[in-house]
Amino acid sequence: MIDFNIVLAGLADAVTLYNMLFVLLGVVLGQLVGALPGTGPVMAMAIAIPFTFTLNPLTAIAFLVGVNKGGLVGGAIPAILINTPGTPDAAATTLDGFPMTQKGQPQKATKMALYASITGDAFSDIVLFTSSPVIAAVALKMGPIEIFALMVFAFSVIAGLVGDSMAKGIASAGFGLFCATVGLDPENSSPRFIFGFFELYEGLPLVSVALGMLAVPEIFRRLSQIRGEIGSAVDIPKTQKKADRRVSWSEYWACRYTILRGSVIGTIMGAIPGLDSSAAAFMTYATAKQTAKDPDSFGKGNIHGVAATESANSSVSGANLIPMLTLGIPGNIAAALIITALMIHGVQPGPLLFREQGRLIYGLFSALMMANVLNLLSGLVGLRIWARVIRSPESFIFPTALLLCIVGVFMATGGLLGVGIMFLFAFISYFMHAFGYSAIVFVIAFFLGERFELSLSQSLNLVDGDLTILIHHPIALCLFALAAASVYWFGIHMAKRKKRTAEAEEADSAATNEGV
Amino acid sequence: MTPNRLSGVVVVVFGLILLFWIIPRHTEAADYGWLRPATLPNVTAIIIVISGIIHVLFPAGTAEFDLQSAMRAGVFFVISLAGLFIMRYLGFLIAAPLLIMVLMLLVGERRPLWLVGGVVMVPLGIWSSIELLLKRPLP
Repeated sequence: MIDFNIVLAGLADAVTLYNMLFVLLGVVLGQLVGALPGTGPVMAMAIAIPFTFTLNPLTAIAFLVGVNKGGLVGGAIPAILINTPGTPDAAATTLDGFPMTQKGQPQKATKMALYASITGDAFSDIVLFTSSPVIAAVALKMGPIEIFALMVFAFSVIAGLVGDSMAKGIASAGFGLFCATVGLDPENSSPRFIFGFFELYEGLPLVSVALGMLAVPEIFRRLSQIRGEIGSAVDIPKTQKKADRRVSWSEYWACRYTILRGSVIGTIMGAIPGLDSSAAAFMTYATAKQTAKDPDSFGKGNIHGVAATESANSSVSGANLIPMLTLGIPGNIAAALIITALMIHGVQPGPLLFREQGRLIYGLFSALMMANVLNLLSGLVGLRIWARVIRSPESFIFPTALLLCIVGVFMATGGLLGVGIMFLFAFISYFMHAFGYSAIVFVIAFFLGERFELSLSQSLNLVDGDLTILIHHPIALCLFALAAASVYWFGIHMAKRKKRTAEAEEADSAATNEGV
Repeated sequence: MTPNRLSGVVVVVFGLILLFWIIPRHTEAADYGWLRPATLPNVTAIIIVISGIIHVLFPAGTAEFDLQSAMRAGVFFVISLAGLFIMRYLGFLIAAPLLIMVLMLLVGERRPLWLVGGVVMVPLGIWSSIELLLKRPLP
């Protein structure tokens, strides 16, 4: 039963000037890094986590949520202005955003991206508020065996959906789980893989692994790609017609069905662990094009194209929090980083969160809505400023980001060992990325590793060698069956289909060449 | 053998090293309980080996390994480690500007204003925010 006193107290907790300032700071920072191609909110969130130590949990999480939401808006700016998505989420926005810029409507495109983004985000947040307590209540009825089965199912889906090969995804998940076993084991409390470093008794530092796998290798990759001319140029016309600079109410209203469709698709896909927002954006774009009266205008600067992709990719961010808050399973990398921050602040995500930290969660809901409003306001003011920020040279941005990673990990771990671990994982992640092994799957498996081992231990003790006990756990059996089905679907069926499609395309191109 | 398939071989070898060398040497033996210290590490190593074998037999996806880019990234990696080493012995205020300066110069930045911004303003800004505002020590 929901205690409305806790709900109201939580909602009120977030609405303070102090929290509002941090959410605003997060949103502004997110828009700024989102606007810089190659950086993005994930890198900013990873770097910011250690700096949130001094904040209370609600302010810290609200700040990080602000960075994520701001980043989704900011990512559209370079996608529209220079045909380079600031974040992977905005890749589909280039399809119609950049042609609008070429037609002399860059401000109209960025404003529609902002409005569609905020609408999609608010929609998914409302779904999050209303559905999460119900899902958490159901999840509370699950025992260790069901939780273990759920994690196996989540791993199988994430490994199949993220990256380009199921085998590579499972190998990444296996390696992530292995790294999570560093430190004391849950049953015997004996140290494992500490290699003489007593600091590793508590396991590998989460912040070192997160930054090492995600931010630092990206910095090295970007630095290594700088050749010759530094920085990017954007040409924004100085004189534009008034109609080309703004989005009128009638234009926004004309896109209502496109935005609603994007929000629904993004929310559904966001609630499934492993599906990223770029997939939602491309799917919505394809649907918008199919249902449009003038599908040929898509790709040539149709404002519906921008509205579709931005509403979809932004609605994923709120929905990603549904499995994270209710089941403790991060849906994507941003959610995994929020889990890290929650754990650093002593909060364990999962179904018990609503019972034990209800006030914090409802405070977070309030902060999410606050972030939407502030995202809109700072977007309206900041769009022109961020367009200028794109001119900052990469030679300045990436060395600064590297220094922030070093300082952040040093602060979080209290020594240079943590920084060394960060560089070790950066090295590993660089090669994993180069050979198509997903760092995201690794990080999600690493974050879930401790709980996975604990639930496995509890399940084995409950079963006590008698597998027939599983008959009394039909939900767990269903989840195991679903896991096996998803391995078949993503690993065998989809791989065969991809191969057939590739062969058919090859045959087509060969026939065309012969014809020529 | 393509680099993509070769990556599967590396994964298999890595899994076997974990299984037969690292795990036995770095876990303690326990003769009670269902989940012993080496159980989950062994399971994960077996998963790594099996998925590596599957990838070798049925390679899917792509590998985009560019040796030249990797070498350049390696140079930045070594410079960062050297920066860390200097930071350990000489402190943040000497190592951080040096590290940023070397990185900026190496990627070809020569504009004095951006160099001053990166080499002086950024380390000073970080140092003053951490040491003076947050009262936390830096190396």
